[in-house]
Amino acid sequence: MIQVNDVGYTYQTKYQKVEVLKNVTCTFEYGKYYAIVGESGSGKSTFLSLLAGLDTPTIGEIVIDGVEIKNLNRDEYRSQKAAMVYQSFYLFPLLTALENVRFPLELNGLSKKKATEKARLLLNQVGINEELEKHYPRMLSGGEQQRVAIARAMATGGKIILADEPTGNLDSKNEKIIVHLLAELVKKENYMVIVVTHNPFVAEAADRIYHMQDGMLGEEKANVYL
Amino acid sequence: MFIFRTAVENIRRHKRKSILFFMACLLLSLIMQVILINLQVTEREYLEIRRSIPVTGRVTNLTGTSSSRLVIPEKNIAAIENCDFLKDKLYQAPVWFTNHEIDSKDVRMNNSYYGLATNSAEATSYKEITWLEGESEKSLSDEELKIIVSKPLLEAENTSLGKDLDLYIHYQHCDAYDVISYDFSKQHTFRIIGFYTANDNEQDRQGADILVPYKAITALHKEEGRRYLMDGASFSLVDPAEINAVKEEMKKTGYLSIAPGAVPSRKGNALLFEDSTFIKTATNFEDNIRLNKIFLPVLLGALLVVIYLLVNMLMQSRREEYLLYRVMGMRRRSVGVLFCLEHILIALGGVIVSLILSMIMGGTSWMQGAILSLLVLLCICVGTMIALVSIGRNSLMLAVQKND
Repeated sequence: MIQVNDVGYTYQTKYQKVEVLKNVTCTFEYGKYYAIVGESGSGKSTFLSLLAGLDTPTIGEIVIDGVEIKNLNRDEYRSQKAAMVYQSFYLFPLLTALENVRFPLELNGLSKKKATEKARLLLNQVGINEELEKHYPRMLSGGEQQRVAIARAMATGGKIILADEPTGNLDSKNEKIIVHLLAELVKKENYMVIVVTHNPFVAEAADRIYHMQDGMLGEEKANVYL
Repeated sequence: MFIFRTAVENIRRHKRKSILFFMACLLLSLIMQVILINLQVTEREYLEIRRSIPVTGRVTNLTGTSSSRLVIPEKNIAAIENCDFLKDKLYQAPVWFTNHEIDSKDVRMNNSYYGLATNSAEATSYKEITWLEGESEKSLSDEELKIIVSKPLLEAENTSLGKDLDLYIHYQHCDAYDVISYDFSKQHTFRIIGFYTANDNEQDRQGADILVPYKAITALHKEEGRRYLMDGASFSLVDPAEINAVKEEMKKTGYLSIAPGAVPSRKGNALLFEDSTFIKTATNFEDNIRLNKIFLPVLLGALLVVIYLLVNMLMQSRREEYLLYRVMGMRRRSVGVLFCLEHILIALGGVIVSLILSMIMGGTSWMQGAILSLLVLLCICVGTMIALVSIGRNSLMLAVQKND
C-alpha cells in the first residue's frame, strides 16, 4: 500500500519558486488500477515521479508498505519494488529488446543465464516473440516498444508500475493492447498500477480515478467515463 | 563484475564514440610523449656538445698578444699542473745545448743545438719518432736526463740510439726589463732514447734538434739554484661547462685577466681561452632547454584540459543513458564507476599504443611513459566525475521530465 499524506512539492528555478503540488492526500492499494487525470501542467507527472522515488516531497510524507519514502533507499526501491513506464518508452537504444529487459534482472544480481531466461518469459508474457526480442528499439513499432518497457518494469520483481501517459505515442489499436496488458497485471498478478493520463479510454479501464488540478488532488471519483 | 561486463559491452555498442575517444587519447598521449622526448634529446645533445666542442686555453701576456717566448713563473705552471679541471697540458721552453764549453752569450751564434724542454712531442711537428725499446712519449714526463734528437744530430755526434751524450746546457733567464740572457752551465750526460727525421719544410728545418723532459731541466735548475722559466703553456678543459670554475680557480692562483691596454711584456701571467664557440652553442642549448621546461607544464596542462573537455562532451552526449540508469535504480556511484571504467579502458588502449610507439621511436623510458599514462587516466577519471556531478546536479525527477 502507498499512503500519501498531505504532500506538497516545490522546486526552485533560476528566477522563481514553483509550487507544483499542494496538500495531496490519497491511498493506493495492490490489486488495483488507478488513473490520475487532469490538464497539462496540473502536477500529475510530478506526483507520479514522487511515487517512483525520483525525488522526495517538500512537505508531507509518502509511506510505501509502512516505510516513509525519505527513509527508503530510493535506488533500491526503483530497482526492486516500483518501476516507471514512460510515454516515450525510454528504452536503451543500443540494447535489444531482450537486453533491455535483462538489464534490471542483472542489476538485481541475477546471473546472465538466469536473467536471459526470465527476460524471455516476461517478453513472452507481453506478446514479444523470440524473433522480436533480438530487435533493437528502432526496429520495433510503438506498441512493441511499450510492451518491452512494461516487461522491463515487471523485471524489477516489484508489484508497482507507474505509467506516465503510456499510450501517448500509440495508435488506438496499440493503446487497447497496452491498457489490456496493464489491467491483466492488476487482475492476475495483484500489481498496483497507477497511470497518469488525459486519455478517457485509458482512464475508463481504471478502478479508481483521481483528478489533479493546480497541484491539488481532487476527491476520488467513481469512473466518470462510464 | 556486472558493471565491468556492462562497461565492455557499452564500449562495443558505442563503437564510433569509442574509436574516436581511443584515437584522441592515443594522439594526445603521443603528443605528450613527443614533447618529453624532445626535451630529453635536447638535454642529451647538450651533454654531447660538452664532449664534442673542446675549449682550449693558453698562457699569454697581459695584453693577450703573445703566447710564446714568454716568461712564465713556476707558480703559474704549478697552478695549471694542479688544476683538476684541465687536461692535455702542454708545456715548452727553449733550451740551448752545446757539445763543448762556450761563453753563454755566444750560444745562439755558435755551433749549438736548439732544444725544447717539453712534456709532449705535440710541442713539435715531429710525429715519426723512433724510440729506444722500453721508451715512449711518456718518457717526456720523467725527471731523468733523457733526450730525443734529430737524425742529423745523431750523425753529427757520431752516436746512436741508446747511447749517452755529454752536453752543456745554457740556462736562460729574464731580468726585470724582460731581457733574456744565458748563463754558463755544467756538462750533463743525457741518454738518447729516440730520434726523428725532420721533414724537408721550413717549419721542421727551424725546429728543435733536441727534445728533453721539462721536469728534468727544471730539476737541474733547482739543483743549481736557478729559476726556471717556461716559454709557453697550453691546455684543454676536461668539461667545457666548467669554464667559469676554471677561470675562478686560476684567478685565485694569481693569473690576471687580459687587459688589452696594458704595457706589453713577456710575463706569462694571463690566460686566453678559446671558448666563444662553446659558449655560444651552450647558451643556445641552455635557452632551448629552459624554454622547454617552462613550456612543458603549460602544454601538459593544456592537453589535460583538452582530455577533460573531451570526456565531458562524451558524457553530456550520453546524458539520457545516465538518467535511464538512475531511473532504473542503479546507484549514482555505480553509474559513475561504469562510465569511468568505460573511459579508462578505452584510454588505456590509447596510452599503451602511444607508449609502444614512443618506445619504438627510441623515446621515453617505461617509468616516464607510465607516469604520463597515469596522468592521462587520472584526468579522464576527474573529467568523468565532474561531468557526472554536472549531469546529476539537479533533481532526478526534473532532469527526467526535462528530457522526456
